[in-house]
Amino acid sequence: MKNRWLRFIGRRLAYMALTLWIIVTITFLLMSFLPGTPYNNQDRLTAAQLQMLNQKYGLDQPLWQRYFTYLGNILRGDFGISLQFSDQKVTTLLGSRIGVSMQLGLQAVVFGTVVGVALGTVAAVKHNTWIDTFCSLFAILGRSAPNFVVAVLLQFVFAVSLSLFPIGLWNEGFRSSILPTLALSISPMADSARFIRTEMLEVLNSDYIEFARAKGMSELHLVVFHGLRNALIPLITILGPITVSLMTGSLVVENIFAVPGIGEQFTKSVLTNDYYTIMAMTILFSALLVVVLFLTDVLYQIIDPRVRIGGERS
Amino acid sequence: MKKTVSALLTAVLTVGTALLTSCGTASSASSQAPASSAASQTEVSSAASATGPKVLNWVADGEVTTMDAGKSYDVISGSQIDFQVDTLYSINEKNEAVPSLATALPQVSKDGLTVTVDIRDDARYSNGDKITAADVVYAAQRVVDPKTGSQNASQLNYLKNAEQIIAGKLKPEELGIKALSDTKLQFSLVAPSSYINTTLSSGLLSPISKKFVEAQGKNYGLSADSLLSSGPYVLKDWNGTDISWKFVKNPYYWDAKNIYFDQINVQVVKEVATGVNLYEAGKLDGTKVTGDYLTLYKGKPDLKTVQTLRLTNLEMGISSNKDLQNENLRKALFYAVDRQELVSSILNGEGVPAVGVIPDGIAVNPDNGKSVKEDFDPLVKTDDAKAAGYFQKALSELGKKSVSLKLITSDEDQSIKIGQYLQSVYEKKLPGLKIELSNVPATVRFKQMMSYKFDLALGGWTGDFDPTSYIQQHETSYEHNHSQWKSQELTDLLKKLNTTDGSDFTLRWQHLKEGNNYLLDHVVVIPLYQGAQSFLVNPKLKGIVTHVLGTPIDITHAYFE
Repeated sequence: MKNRWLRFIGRRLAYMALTLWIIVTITFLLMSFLPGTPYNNQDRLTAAQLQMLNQKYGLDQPLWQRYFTYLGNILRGDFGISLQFSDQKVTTLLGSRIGVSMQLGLQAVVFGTVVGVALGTVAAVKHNTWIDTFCSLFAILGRSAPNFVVAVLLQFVFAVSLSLFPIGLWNEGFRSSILPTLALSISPMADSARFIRTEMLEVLNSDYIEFARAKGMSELHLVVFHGLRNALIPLITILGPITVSLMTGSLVVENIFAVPGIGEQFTKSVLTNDYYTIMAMTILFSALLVVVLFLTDVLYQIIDPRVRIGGERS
Repeated sequence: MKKTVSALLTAVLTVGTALLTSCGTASSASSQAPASSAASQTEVSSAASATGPKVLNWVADGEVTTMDAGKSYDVISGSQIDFQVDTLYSINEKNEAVPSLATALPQVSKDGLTVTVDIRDDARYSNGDKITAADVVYAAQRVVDPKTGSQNASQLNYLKNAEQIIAGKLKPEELGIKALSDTKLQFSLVAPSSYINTTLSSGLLSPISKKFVEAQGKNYGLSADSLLSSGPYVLKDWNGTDISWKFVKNPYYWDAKNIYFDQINVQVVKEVATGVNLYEAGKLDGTKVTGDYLTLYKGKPDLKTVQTLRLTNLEMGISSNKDLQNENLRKALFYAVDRQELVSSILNGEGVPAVGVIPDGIAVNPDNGKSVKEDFDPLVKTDDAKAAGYFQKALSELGKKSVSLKLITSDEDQSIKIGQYLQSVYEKKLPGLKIELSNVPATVRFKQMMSYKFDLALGGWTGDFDPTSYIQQHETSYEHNHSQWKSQELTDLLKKLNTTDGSDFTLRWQHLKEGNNYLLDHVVVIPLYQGAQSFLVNPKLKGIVTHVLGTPIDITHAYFE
């Protein structure tokens, strides 16, 4: 058994490394096709200046050489410098931003999932009542309202009108994180509510629930321990990618609440040809995703008896 | 309630448009006043008059790309560097240089090629070290040194040998700047310059301590701790990529007694709606406004609009498109645009109609002090009948029934709207003209223009205090001559402007006028509008200086009334 686990983990780690390498290579290639230069003042640069700058940043070398230099550097933990932030290390940029985005993302996932699961469960239990309709309506609204509308509404109602929370900025500790978290949690909330409702309906209609009910088990116990536990398993699959995308920040929500997250950097780095920031963001995003998918698989092994690691070929 | 709803709607619309297309000017207009305007203003002022440290809460509409004065090239960085460097001269409201680190205006030799400047002997850095003329020399040499990688190095091209040093052909020490003593600087120019006073106000010439820079090595300027201030404030709490930081008063600054605030907190706020909410709540003493907010705040004391030297033009790929080589076609395009309508209904007042190839508010006629708008011939006009006439003539000369042109614009909101406006105006006023729009990322547009192969493109130019660059852009051999217009006449004119005219201001102004008229007569480019930026500023804040170039609102010497 132990051996099987080791082999499973070992093989997955090798795949993860391979996946990352492929992503790095493809991104590096695509990036080199971007038109323009990474110098923001390019319309004022003379040809001679451009040449000296390229020389300074090693961009005058052939592509393959830059690629191998870059691979060597990242293996040594050197992610290069950002050119939109004149010569700052990319790690400084990501380091000072990623914490805020991860905090907001995790808070949003936890809050959104807990509330979403509760809503979905209630909706399923009270199937075809006004409660169900209300929950479904909420889920549809939450899924379809663009987050800039949600964020601006939350800001207007809770900060501008009621003055309960700060309008924005990141200087009041946890209080500063409440509204952005709420804005971000709407989408995981709606997703998990819809998902759990469907799953619960299926589970609650299955034979073993009928059997348990026939044995005289209390309805609460039945729903929480027998229904929800089984309905939660598929939710794990969708939660992984949602968590990653929320942890890597949201341009919209972070800008509206003026919080120092990383959300904008991906778009901005591509638009400004900030090569090493694009690479670092891509690596960060894909590494998180790969790790989360791996953890999801491991979790599956533990909680779902139907997907245990296949035994030796017999 | 109605007010609340309208303010909320404005917020959603502004944010929405801004996010969807990255630059916000929402289309719906609302004339309601903001919900809590009056109430929160009293809040702001009571906070201001409280005893204790005098603090100002200011805003930046993006991160700073660098706090290193020698590398800075963008407005946001420049505005933050202003707080912490002393320049030889500062620019006042009238675009005139006034001595700052220097003790008097520069002395220029008879041939106009040698300039000497005396600097104060009581100037000190924020660590107490003395500032000497050698520090200014070092700063300038560092800018042109290719090792520094300053993207703004060519701004010093007026100094002898600068161009060769930037290209790596000469050593930085050979730059045309020398320290004759601890307080005397000597500049050697490539050509006489009529704008030397304002040119020498550049932050690129702010003193840097060589000792300090060398001690910091590679880390110089990358965080608040690796910078030394020579100006009124010292930077704190900035790690290089932050979205908030602060400035505290520099006790060693020679003019510290005239600096009012003990601390200025700066916060990056990119969403206009958020900035306005924070301003209304008294959390900010100033913020940028665009779009509908301009209508909302119209006539209020908070609103401050500052014109810029950014000129937006319709550029033509004359060399690559046979039809555009027909002058009558270009004239038709020139006369058909209603620039007043463009700025009022499309730009919501974020600009003023262009008056020529040279923007208004730049230099003035040296003899009578009149601005470009007052002094130049009013050649930029709208005339539908003329436009239609020229178009008919063009069609018959070309032997065509219709002409189709592709217009390239950047893919941000405002450019897209301007593109659509031009398309509708041209197709309506000039039947037979077909305009195809192409909205592309700015880098792609730029690349197409630099390849000189395009029909029409929405481009622009920001020069400096010397209007020559606006003419230079269209010179035969200049790399940014996107139309590839060839003219010996213009080349000769520019040669005069860049050399002999340096010592004859009147003649020079005459030649600038000639250049402007030449470009408009031949319709080498179609000027559209000149940019403007608007801000909400706490009405209690006085002593603000507005600039057409560089930092739009300079608050280094501002105070609360």
